[in-house]
Amino acid sequence: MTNAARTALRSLLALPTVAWMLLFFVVPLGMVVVYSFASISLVTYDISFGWTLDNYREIHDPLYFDTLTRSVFLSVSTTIGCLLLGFPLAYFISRQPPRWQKVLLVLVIVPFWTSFIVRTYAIVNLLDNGGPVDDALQGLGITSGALNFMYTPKAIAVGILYSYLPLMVLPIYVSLERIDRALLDAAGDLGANARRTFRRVTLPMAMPGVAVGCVIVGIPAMGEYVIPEILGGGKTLMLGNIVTDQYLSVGDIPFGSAIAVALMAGMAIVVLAARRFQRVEAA
Amino acid sequence: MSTAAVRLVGLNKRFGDLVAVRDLDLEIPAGGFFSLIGPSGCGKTTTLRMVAGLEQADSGAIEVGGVDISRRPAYRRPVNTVFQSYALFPHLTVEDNVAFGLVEEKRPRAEIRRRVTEMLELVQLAGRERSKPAQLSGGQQQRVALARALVKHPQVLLLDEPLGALDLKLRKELQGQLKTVQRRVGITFVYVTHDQEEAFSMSDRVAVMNEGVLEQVGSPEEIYQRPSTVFVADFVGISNRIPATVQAPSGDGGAYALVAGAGPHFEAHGPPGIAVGSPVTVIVRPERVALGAEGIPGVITDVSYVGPARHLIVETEPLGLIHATVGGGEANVAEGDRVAVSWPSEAAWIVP
Amino acid sequence: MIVRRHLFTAAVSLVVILFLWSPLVLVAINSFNSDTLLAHWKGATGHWYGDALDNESVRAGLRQTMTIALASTAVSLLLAVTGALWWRRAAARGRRMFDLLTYLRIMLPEVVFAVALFLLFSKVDFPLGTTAVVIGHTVWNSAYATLILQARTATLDPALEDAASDLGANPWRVFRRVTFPGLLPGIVAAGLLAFTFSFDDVVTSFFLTGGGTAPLPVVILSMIRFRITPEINAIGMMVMVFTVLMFAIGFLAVTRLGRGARRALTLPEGREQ
Repeated sequence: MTNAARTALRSLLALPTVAWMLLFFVVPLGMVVVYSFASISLVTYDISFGWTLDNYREIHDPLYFDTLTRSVFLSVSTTIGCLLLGFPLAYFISRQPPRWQKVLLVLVIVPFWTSFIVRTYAIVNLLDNGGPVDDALQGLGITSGALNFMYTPKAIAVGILYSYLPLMVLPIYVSLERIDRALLDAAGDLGANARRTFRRVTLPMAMPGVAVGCVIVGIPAMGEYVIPEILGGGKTLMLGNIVTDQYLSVGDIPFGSAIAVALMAGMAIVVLAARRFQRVEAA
Repeated sequence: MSTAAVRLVGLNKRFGDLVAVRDLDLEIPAGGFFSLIGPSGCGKTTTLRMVAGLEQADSGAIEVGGVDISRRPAYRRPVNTVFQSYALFPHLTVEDNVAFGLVEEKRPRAEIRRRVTEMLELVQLAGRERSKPAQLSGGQQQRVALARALVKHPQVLLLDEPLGALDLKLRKELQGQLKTVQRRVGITFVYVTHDQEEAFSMSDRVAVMNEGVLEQVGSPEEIYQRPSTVFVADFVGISNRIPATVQAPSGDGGAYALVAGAGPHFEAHGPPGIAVGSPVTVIVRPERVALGAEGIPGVITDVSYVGPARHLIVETEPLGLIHATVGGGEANVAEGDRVAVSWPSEAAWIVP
Repeated sequence: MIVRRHLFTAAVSLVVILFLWSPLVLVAINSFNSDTLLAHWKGATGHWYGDALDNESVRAGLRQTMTIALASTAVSLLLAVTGALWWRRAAARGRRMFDLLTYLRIMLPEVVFAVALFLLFSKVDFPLGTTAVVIGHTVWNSAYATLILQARTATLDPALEDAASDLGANPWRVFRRVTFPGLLPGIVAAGLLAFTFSFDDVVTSFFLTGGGTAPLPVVILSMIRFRITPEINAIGMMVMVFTVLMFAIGFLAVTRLGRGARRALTLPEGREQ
């Protein structure tokens, strides 16, 4: 078989993915973008496809704009939180002998293997008034009166942190684990003590994992729906809730689409920034 | 027609802008140990892979045992390869690795087991059938790779720098083993390496390649003593290069008379048919250079002791720097000594 | 376990692991708590489990979730394996576009996928329900599976496939005897991950289920929204045990696949394969 024929046959392998995504990913998203420029009569639900920016202007309405900033803020703070907690854990695991690595990884992954929604509900249990944390804090005299932590943005933050932590730990662990022991030996050999070895060898080589972790935590966090729904008590506290509300309750598809597009744009910026960071580190 | 084991006709291969192999014509005789040597990037590995079928030539033909196999995919060629990285299947035992090709041939299980056992004995790995590649040392892995390729009784065995990853002592040991195995099974071995010494010690015939082109084919002695280009001369050993002009054509003894620059007249041997007046390079190997009272006068400017010999550099007026190698035991050489260098005319070889 | 050398990280690790597990332990405890208000421990009981199992929407939800998860995993693996094998030998430009497609699917919040497909299906009159949910899951599920398989194919030594060809295996045999065993750890990992993501999923399922049988997570969501009852702890406990069991079974199944797969699954200990 000629080289050309072989290459042509091999490109068939890409077909399943490409076809599926064209049909069920690219086209639907295109539709959302198109609809974001349309207008709808909320009386007749007739959609007219003008090219209007009204939907986007509506986002500036303080009601919605607050939600936008809140979403961004929550995403960033929980990503940082996951990093601060997750990196030491990943590091600790990577320094263990293989058998213990497996045990520890299981301990980290098993909670992740439990149902997302049950986990979120478990946080409710934990943080609710009358729950163990409330009881403990009052008992220790740290707080007086009910905690009232539930159904606030802070509760959402804890919920996101809790759910996404393993997603930060795993890629960092993979990066750290791959670091050849010989490299660390070489660094020690060249005179670096433990801290410097960490700073100059381990940390840079863990960066790809950190970047991956931050992206797969930060971005879904911004568009979260379930956690704010449950831990926020049904108020539309984050962007995901608004979109859902508009699409399924209000029926204002153009406006919902505009918010979705805004979300997409935000994601694109974050990812591009992260990819640039990853490329720099890899060099 | 006595069939060469392998015949390459007009082989060409380029990767993008890079020409890897250019118009290669080569015949490899059956039954011997043949080496293909050259510097990195000279095209020897590409050539080997084209014979194996792992690369497609852009043009040209490949014959094995007289049969044109150029169009055949790798899995239908009567050749097998020992890879530089051994390429042992990590999820299979030694036994299953060696049996791999026989399983593809759909041989009966009893026959497979017998042949695998025989082959493992041949490479001195009997008893390690159930081990996994990761449990073996580099040398052992290499022998498994060898066994795996040989067990299929290919017409030609291709070896792509298989000893590269081993330390010197192990390498020498395995070189000896490879040569023994080849003698025993009688299959044509085509061995690729950049190590000239390695190739010379094992091979019956050697081909030297450079930048995609075949420079010379011959026995190790031919290549060493009678190189056909300056590149070959330099690649296989240190040489004294003396630019000279042919004065008189070769007589009955095959010797030409030459004059070096404006200086001394001397004789050298060379390929027939070099015209009078042509500028040539004369190659003299350092170990053939003798120090004595008669000859071209000069001063020793450097002495290096390399164990079995001493390597000297002698500065001469008419010929520039001359390299000479003398036995390590001779004590009467030191920097600054005035000596005369000479060599027998058979030791001088003309490269046109 | 090496602790002394890494006291700080060990301490953080301990705190994090406790943090990860305590809510789950709480759910477990409360699932047996006979106090309806869950304010205090009032003695053990199993009746929440009985209530949960009697709940038809819970049972139906579980069946639905299993079906969807298996289907979505299968399709995602197919897309992932073909995609990763193509990517390995593809030219730079093709790779870049493929990667863009993969990263887009990972980076976009699920809500965006869900509304987009909801819009598509409603405009082309494709019925919402099981198939719609499977399609929706596969769109993003296959992205994770593909990443894992790409990582795995990167570790495959091309010389191994050369060797297999050289020894007489045609392309299909090379795939079966060398490539696939090499991919297997990746396939298992990707499959387990895809299954969990699908099993767990709320948003896409919520949008695309329509009026049909809701998958279990959506059932649970409704229960939480409308009344928080202790039954949820029992359901949650059962779901947790189930998914952990699934994981354990998957792991055992792979180790039974033979010496090859088990060897390939052990974490790299020095000699890379």
